[in-house]
Amino acid sequence: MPDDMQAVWLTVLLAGVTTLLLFPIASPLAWWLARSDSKGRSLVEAVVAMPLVLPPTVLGFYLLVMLNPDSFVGGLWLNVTGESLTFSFSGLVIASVIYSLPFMVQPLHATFRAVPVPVLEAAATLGASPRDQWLNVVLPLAKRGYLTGGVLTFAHTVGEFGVVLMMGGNIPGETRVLSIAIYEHVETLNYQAAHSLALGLMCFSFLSLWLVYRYTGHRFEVVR
Amino acid sequence: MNGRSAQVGVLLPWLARTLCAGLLWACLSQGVESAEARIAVAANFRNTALVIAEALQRVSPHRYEIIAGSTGKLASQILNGAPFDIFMAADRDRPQQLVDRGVAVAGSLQIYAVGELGLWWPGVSGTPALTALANLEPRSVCIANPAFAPYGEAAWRSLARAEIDSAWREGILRVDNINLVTGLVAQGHVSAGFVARSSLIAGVRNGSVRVNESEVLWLAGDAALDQMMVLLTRGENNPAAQFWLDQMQTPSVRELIRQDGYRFPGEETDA
Repeated sequence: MPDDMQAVWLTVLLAGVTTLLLFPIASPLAWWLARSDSKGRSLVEAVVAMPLVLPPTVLGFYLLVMLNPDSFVGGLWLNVTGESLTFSFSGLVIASVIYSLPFMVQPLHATFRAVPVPVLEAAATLGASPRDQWLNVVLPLAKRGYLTGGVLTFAHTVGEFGVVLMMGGNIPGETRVLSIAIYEHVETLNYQAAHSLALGLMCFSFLSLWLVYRYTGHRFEVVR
Repeated sequence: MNGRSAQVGVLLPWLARTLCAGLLWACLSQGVESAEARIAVAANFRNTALVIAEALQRVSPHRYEIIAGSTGKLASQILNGAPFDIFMAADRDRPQQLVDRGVAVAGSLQIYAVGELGLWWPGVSGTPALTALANLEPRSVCIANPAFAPYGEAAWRSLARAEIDSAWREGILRVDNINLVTGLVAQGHVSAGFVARSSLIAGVRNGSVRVNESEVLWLAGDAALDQMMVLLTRGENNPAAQFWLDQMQTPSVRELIRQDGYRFPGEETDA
């Protein structure tokens, strides 16, 4: 059971770090998608949404190939930190950021699109710099989008399994997240332990989704 | 002034004691070099490895982490940079391949146990026989995936040698590793399965498996699995890994391995 507590903590840490990293990564991307008329927009939208439809094994496979110590990125990381990027917590963070990207970008995209342009123009005529407009107009209006994106990203990362199995393995304290711990309990016939963790995850997933629907409405409607 | 000197008077002995304790700790800890090692073990050896780790942690300052999986998967993870110090496989080939690929130390190769494969067929009338398996639906017979699990490979060879129809063989259920086979047979999801003696012993010990010796056909000879271990280059300078390697041939550790249903090279099977 102490191992399971370690898995719980590791999962929370992974989901927390991923969510915090995705706020600044997804915000400009979602803003650009919401405001741009560029022809390349649909292309970017498709790329961002790919983790929604790709089997996690495909993503896991390419990450394994891209990040292993013989690859350029993996080799560089190994030289700088002395640790391999595959089968490590850092590698999992990179994988989770990619894997959960659409779960942050899409709610933010919907939120930003709903911010009325005249409101921003009014702020500009009143002398607000783009930074002021962002901090004082867009952010307060997009609060619910951030809440939705944050909760969905966190919950989705908690539920990650295939990608971790492919490029994280099962190393206690490093890559043995909850889903992997459950898998191992089932493999080793420890159904009691598997039940406790699985039930915990069920409750958590339900609460997260309920929170999202309760506070944002079904259509992620943010501006009234 | 008085108050101040009283404060100094109290502080000085405390400071001296702390310093002495610190020095003592520094001297002691220099003599014993403690380290941590990650041991990747074949699924069938998981429970034994956990017991050995506990025993070695009691007699040394080292700490061990056991990571279990099928031999082929662990080998592939190691080639892709998994941070393991020692690899305990369920065959001879994979450790040798890792040496050939330059990620393991050639001189450290050793057989640490000889495992045994059996056909477990609960409720069969009489003694289980390989040829009689063909009377079952292929999907109700389970083996570890021969593509990456040595016990599955051995089971596959036994089936081929028993001249069971190849179309029937293709239809049997393959799972990730040998422990899963034991679980599926124990819970009645499948009628029969190829299991390791060690997995059965571990299952009986923790109460998840009930088996009657007459339900198992032990496949001696070719189905004996030489389980080989190797030091990985990552663990070359790790004293904990070195200690683990050194201890594997000691009588006390060998006894732990024997208790879990393994033999050693040159010993005859008792089945």
